[in-house]
Amino acid sequence: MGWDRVIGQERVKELLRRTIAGRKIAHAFLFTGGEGVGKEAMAIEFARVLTCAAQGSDACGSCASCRKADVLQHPNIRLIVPLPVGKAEKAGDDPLKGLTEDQITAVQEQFAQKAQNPYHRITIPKANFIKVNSIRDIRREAALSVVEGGKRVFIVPPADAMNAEASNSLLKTLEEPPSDSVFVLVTSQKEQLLQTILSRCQQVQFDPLGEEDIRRALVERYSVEGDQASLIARLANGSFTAALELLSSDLRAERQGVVQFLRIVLSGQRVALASAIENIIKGGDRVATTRWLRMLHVWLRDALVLREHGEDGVLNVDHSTDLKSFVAKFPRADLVAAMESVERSIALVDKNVYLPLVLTGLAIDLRRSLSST
Amino acid sequence: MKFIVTSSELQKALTKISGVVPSKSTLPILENILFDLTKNTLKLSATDLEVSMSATIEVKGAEDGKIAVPAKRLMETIRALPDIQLVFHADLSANRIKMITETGEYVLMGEASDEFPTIPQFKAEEKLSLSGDLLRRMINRMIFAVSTDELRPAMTGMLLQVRETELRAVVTDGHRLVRINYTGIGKMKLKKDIIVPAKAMSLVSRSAEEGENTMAVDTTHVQFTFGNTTLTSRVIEEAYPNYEAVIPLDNDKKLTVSRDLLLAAVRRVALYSSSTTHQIRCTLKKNELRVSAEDMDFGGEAKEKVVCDYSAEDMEIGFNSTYLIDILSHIDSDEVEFRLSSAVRAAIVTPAKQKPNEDLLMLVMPMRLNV
Repeated sequence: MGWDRVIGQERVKELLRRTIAGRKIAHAFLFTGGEGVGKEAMAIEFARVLTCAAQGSDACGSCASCRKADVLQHPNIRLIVPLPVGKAEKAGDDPLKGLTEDQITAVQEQFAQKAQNPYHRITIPKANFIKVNSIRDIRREAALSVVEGGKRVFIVPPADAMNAEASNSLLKTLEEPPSDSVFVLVTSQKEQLLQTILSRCQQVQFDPLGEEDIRRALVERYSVEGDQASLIARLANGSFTAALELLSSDLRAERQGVVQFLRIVLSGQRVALASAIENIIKGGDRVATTRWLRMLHVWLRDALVLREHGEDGVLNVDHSTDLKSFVAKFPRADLVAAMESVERSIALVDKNVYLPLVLTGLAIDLRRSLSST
Repeated sequence: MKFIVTSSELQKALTKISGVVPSKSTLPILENILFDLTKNTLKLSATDLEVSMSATIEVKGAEDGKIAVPAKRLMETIRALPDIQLVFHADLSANRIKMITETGEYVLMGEASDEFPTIPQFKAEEKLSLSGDLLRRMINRMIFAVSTDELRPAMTGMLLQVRETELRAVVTDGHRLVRINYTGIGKMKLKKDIIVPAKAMSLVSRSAEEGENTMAVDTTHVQFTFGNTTLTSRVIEEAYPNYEAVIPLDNDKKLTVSRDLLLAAVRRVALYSSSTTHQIRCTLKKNELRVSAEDMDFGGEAKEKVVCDYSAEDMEIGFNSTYLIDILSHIDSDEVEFRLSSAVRAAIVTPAKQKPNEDLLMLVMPMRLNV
């Protein structure tokens, strides 16, 4: 029952369930895989099962421990997240000590949201990395006897946010694991972690979620309409967190922006193009830019589907007029090449290339491939 | 849940335990105080997950129940009230708390009691009763030497060793060490070592009451009881370093000196010591102790002569002035006794006259002098 809170990832669920049943639980796990595929949700669920009083391979959901874990108020489940650096914070201080009242409230609110929706991405203003004081706090905590019996679980999401000092400090702890404690490191960028940390964790690889899994979850949990759910599932690219962000963003306006962009590209207005690009990158937000590129990708795909198959299978159903006129106007556009350039651009954004350069390059490529006669 | 209590009594109990309520925590539930009413007994509990405290008071109970009440607002309200009768009423299904006085009504929102961390179940394996005075004296004289280095968690606490006829308390941070042995506190059946976090110990010293207090231990917790207040702390589950090995037994050079004179001299001279090393130099000649320091960076130096009782051969030994000041200011006897062996071996400092049933020993590592 309990594991159902995690979408998909059946292979990982089975693996963890078996680990628990065999009572051969490693002292440290590393959950790796793409953004938003449910690593943190799985870590929280795993922690819930490990602390459950019933000690089964599923959380019973009714004991006091489970109820506390549900709201992330369990004393033995600790989330170690990036926090802002406090005022006059010294080495060895309580990581929360120097924070202002407002910052503490922000942290608590983020935790409450995380408890409600394990796919929520915790974002605390000015929190850029996991502080070494947070790791020191783990050491302090781990040295004490366990409060309510059972296991103690430290979840570190995202582990790649640890700075060098914090990583080294955690390494010391992993080298001499405290009793009754399980560490779950979560990261989508495994390369960023120290080799020595990687080698001390049992690694669990997460796969991207299937579109169907995301679609179903959206329909069931957020009562999203079927069509929109399919579109979002496609845009989300295997990440449920991305799907939720799409859900809350103004999809219609953003997709309108895609059409607008194509118009400008094809008409060759350079000044308008510059300001359109400015608009898309929103001051250098790589996540938003990637999402926008993905939308462009889906739109081009729709054009291709429409041209080759007719209206069945088009995702941007509400854009069918635009799509139709596009197909009619540019019947020989090389859509496959265009989609390839979008994919390349997505990869470049990932690699930290200067965003205006990526998009300008893309505009040139698109113009070439779409207006080919 | 419903009861009647006077505001002053409630305030007294709240003040006792509110010290553990963390001001900043990721678990908002900890900012609450748990009210638990059974018949006419109200139990108030607070915890920061490391240390839990609870106090019981007698009230006029009407309806049993349990609820977590936000500590800050409650304390502020009670403090602002005159000494009057208060009807405390909580609607447990909505977590709504109402406090009614003769003229006013205060409503605040609580939290469900089952979200509150379980206050540890305690099964005492050994119990000893200690006077509040002893507890306070013991803790206040040792706590300064507790380590803050979380890489060696054992040393961030106070080691309490229960032995057949004595209780030993030890703290060290690797540079200095304080050990106090107490005898004459009864006969214990168990031999037990526990390490209590420093935070718990300073709370104990603040809460200890006149007269008898008890200390009880089990495998994972230690519990102190002062009247109707109890403090339960988790213990540090690590091996304490073998401190006995570092206490030298053959230090034969004995120096006896007035504590006040030496402390004042060291304090003055220390002003001229290097701000990075804090080093001071002690030069010992027959019945004369010279304390000196020099600051290479700024070119200042200071010297003081202190009369003492010393008859062994001349020697020079360096100390960190901060450590020496800490040690001297935590010994409460007119004269202190140093036992030394050489300039590179640990020095032992004890009061010249020990209090009855008490054996206090402090140890400080010297600093190597160049030249």
